[in-house]
Amino acid sequence: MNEMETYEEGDLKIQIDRSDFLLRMIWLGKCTLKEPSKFLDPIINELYVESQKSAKKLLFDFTNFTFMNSSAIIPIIKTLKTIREGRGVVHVHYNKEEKWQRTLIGELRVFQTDDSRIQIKGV
Amino acid sequence: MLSDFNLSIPAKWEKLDSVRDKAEAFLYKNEFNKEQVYAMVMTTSELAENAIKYGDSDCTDACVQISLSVRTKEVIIEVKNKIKDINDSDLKKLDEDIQWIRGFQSHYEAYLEKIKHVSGKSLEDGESGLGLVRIAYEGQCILDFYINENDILAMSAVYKL
Repeated sequence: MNEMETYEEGDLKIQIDRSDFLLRMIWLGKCTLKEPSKFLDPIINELYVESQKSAKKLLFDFTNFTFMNSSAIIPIIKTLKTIREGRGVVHVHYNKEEKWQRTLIGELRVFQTDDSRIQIKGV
Repeated sequence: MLSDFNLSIPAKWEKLDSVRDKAEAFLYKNEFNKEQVYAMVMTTSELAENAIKYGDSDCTDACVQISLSVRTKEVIIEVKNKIKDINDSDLKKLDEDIQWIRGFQSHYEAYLEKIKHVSGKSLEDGESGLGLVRIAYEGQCILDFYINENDILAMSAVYKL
């Protein structure tokens, strides 16, 4: 059984699902926080460090997420940039049936790498 | 098909949930589909967020006015708020951001360029200008603004039907 950790702030719920090879950050509800980085940065930074130490892949799973304001995407963009320029593996899954996810999150494929360290995928 | 929605709220972040809920209910009542409703609620939300972030925070009454006007070929989303100072640097940046978006033939290109810009900057939340680009690209809206003689900023986004 995987170990699951949960963080909540306002209508946003983040679940961390740890398995042998994967750190899955599951985004649930909606993010309408005024300063989402204050809540998200520590969680993402801790996961990033853990993924580096354990050589586990990071997965940002947005498939059941319902809404996010534009400020909420900034921590994600910064993480992709950091990993692109350094080490690590991060995959981003979005819901391809949701137009807003295809346009807002799907276009983060600009950060994809040829070696698949960074993958943005509609599922 | 003419219909109007008007709402006034104090400049309080916690009031935004009710703005989104009421705008959504109004748009569904006017028989827009899910994708249209999402785009217009997102646009309303981003404009109202900006009004609260950058408007006159001393204003405690119903000083953010939100309207959605459904017309035959478009929906006009407008958010008005009192500004702190006509010479405020935020207003200059707002003008620059809108001109920057207009400089792109494709809002898709503007969005990609903004993502790259944000990734390379050390920005605090809300300083990115990403919200306006999102309105133009994801919301497919035409943005404009004016300031009247009473120092009221009116930001509009026109969603073409």
